[in-house]
Amino acid sequence: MAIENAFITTKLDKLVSWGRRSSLWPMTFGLACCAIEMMSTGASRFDLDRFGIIFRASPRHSDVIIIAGTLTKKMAVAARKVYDQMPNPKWVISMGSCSNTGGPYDTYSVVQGVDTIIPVDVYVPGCPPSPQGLMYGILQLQKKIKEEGSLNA
Amino acid sequence: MPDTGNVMARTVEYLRELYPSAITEVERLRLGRVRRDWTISVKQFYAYRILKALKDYPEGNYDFLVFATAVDTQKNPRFKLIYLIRSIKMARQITVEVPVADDLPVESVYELWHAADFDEREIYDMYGIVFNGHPNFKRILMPEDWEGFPLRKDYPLKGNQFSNTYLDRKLPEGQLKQSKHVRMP
Repeated sequence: MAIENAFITTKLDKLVSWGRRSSLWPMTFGLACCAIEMMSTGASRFDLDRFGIIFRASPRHSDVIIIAGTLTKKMAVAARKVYDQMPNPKWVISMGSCSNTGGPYDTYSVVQGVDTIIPVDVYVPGCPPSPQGLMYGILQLQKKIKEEGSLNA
Repeated sequence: MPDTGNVMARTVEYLRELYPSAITEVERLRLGRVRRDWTISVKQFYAYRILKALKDYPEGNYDFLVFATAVDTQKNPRFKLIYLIRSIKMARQITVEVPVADDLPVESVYELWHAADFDEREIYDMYGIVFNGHPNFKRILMPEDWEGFPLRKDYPLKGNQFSNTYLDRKLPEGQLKQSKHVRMP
């Protein structure tokens, strides 16, 4: 049986953003207890693979970095370095209260919000956020990429 | 098992015979029925020798350093070093307190107990007390070029909110922004 309507027409921008949002590869950047929830989200029960999300251990493979946990000033230097090594286009998800604002750690050694050192696309609140919360954040990021929809992004 | 009070009393007596003027204070903490935990205060000049004598104590040497830490007492002398050492053989432990003046180097006990390695580095990291004779003496928790010693009482808890010298030095110029929220003091 032959396939009817074997062609579809679309805009190149739409095709590209479809490709980008369907294979978001996150950089592994677990820093504290949020990392446990992030691993749980990636494991079989919640299964991020079905969104095309495969954790990578190299910034040069990655499209998105999930900052999961308390970012200390000592680690901030490394976080910035990793972010700089990721190829464009790149996105940042800030996972959890510590990463969003510093959380309970209003001290000398903790960065008061990841957005002070790198630009953040999606903030996921919670302490730590549940896997559903992180998945919702990722879906919000996919929506954002869909609406950006530009080859130049 | 000999009586606790007697064992500890014998230990302190042994130290007093060796170094008559070293021990300034003996405190006995009552835990349950027995006065089990003894604390001795030792002059800094004798500290290393007292600790060595405890390690070589003939009845059952104190061969296990549980931890070494310090306190910023804000008095004179400023700091107090605390060693908790334990004898596995006698099942007893003793706390040795050493008042230490600001900016006066202390003899490292690394050669007696290798467990002192990280503890002494942490004491230096947090209080700025310098240890002589330590094999790898540098900061352990904070970055090596961090300014100041965080657990000193005159160190601001939240650091300096408006100038961030450490990150300013490390990040590319213009990358560090002020956080969008303001926290209550």
